[in-house]
Amino acid sequence: MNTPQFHRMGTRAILVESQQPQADLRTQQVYWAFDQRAADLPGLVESVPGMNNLLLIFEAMEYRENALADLHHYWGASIEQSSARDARQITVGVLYGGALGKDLPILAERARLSVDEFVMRHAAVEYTVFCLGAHPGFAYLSGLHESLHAPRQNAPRPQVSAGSVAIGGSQTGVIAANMPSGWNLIGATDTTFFDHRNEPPALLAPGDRVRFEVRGIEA
Amino acid sequence: MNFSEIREICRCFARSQLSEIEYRDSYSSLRLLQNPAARPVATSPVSVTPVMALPTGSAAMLIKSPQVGHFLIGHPSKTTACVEAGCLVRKGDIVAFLQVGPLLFPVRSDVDGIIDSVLVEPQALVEYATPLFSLSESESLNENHRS
Amino acid sequence: MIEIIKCMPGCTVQDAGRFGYRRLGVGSAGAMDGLALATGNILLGNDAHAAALEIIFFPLEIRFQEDCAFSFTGAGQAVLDGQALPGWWKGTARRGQLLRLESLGSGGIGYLCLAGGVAVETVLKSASTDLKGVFGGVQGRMLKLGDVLAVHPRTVTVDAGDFGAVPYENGQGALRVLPGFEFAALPEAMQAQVFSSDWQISRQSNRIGFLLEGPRMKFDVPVELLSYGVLPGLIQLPPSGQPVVMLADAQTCGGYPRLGTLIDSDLRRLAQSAPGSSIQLRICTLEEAAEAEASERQYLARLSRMREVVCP
Repeated sequence: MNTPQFHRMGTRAILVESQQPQADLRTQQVYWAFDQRAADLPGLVESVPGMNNLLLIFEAMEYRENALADLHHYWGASIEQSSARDARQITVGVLYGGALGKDLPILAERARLSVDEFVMRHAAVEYTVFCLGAHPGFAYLSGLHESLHAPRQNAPRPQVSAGSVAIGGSQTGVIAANMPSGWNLIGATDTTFFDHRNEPPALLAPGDRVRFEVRGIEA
Repeated sequence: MNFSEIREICRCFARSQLSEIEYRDSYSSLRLLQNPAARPVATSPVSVTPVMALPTGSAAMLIKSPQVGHFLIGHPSKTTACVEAGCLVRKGDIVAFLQVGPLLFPVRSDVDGIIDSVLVEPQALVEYATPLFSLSESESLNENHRS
Repeated sequence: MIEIIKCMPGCTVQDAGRFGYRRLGVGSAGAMDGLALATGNILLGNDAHAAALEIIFFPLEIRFQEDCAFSFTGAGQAVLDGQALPGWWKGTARRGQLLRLESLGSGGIGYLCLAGGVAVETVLKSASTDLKGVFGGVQGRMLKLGDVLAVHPRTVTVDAGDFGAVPYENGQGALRVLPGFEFAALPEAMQAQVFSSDWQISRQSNRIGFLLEGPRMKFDVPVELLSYGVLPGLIQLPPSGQPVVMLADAQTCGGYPRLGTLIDSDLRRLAQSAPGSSIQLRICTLEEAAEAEASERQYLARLSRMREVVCP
């Protein structure tokens, strides 16, 4: 496994990053292990897993500078200790197509599949949550079948409903808040992915396995 | 002993018939003297910039400093002064500021009047009752008003 | 207790920010000018991080429903029952008085602090408004006409009357950047352009980020990145070729190439610059960045100490 890059960000943070064309699970497992070990770093206030990377935020510059010296060692140890996580399985019921999945017919056509076939391929995969980010409760899922990849819209739609199941480039996910989005909308779920009143507030966590269950197809 | 307390003691003393008081605690001591020739003095290692000559004339009114501080004719965020000669001020208007470290305290006019002159230099360290402005009574209501 | 009588969009309750939840996709939110917020709070004897009103568009008019000490810092001017107050000032309002916060014409953000701090429900350890997640502050939204806000009760300390702070000396000149990440992959001529051009602040700028308009920046080879954790201050370069500086409401993860970070002290200055105005950028060292932060901390510490002397 290649050594990652260690970038300073601002005065108090380090981004540990393995840039490659596609995020892979093995590398992500090392970052999950790194994330756990990093909790020991003196002066660490927060760590934020990304797609094959990890952002470490310290209380002050001196802690950040001291940590830089140790990170190669932490990386090495993380490789040794990384393993598949005990994964929870979460099923998300989806109504594919219809008003909230208006891009489904176009995407199916571009993929030269019937709508039913497109939906079956999307629901057949067990996706892995790599990390959360972008907005509260949004899970970056990996595992989307290559035949279902679809580039983002030319311009974002100003408002997309929370619960929209979407495809953006080589990724799929569920948009967890009402917000603008340039992703292609293929369906909707009423599962709640974030509620600040819950403990923990987010439904999903890194390592979770997500399966979409077809509740219906409206084309 | 803090500024509020020193200020209050000075005020009371100035109004009283006492000619001298002395206060001590573990951190500080304060000795105040007054008679027609002398002014209240607070123990402090800094020297005080001498005040410009007071205007003579029985009609002269004064705005005096309410406390110790560095005299600022305008707010630091502005290039303009609060008031200048010829300005009409009303009782309660802010006419200057006193800087004490990072804090600014207002100097308010306690009378209605027209500013005659500014009696201290910008940044001068002044103390309680230092005359800062002289004013005369307003003759008409049509003078320049700035607040 | 205050009531909103007149309000423009963009007025929200913010404290110093919500920290510890970035891994769930929850950004920090919080005041874009933390120094102005802290100053306003310190003048009142509040906790420096206490919640206040952040005003982006003026005017804001409020009526005090009870006697209340307040402070106004940052940009703009406070007018109490028609009487203009000095800037960076702590004033006292009587029940029924009207406070109008108005622009002085050069843009910028103002902060209205209330004695005791604005009282809203604490969500994920903060009172800040998360507009994307729709929580925090007042129901996760901007304030509007008719909203009533309470303050945390507090025992009254010594009343030292009205006074203010000498505003922090920001310095003029170019905003300081710590370059990094993909900056070195830009053609050299463009690298120089970043620091020699005038950048106009786009009117599309908001709490999510400030867009800078100027020379188009492009990599010789397109850069595709896996999503990474973002902090306010990070400068991204989207396909448009115009840099974006991330701010308080930025997404927690981003995917665009990065040029570096605007230092915290100058991020505040950027946020206080009016859309349509121009700024310049310059490279600074880590030491300079650390000094700028230390200088701000010292200012706030001195302010706090002096305030204690005046109002124990």
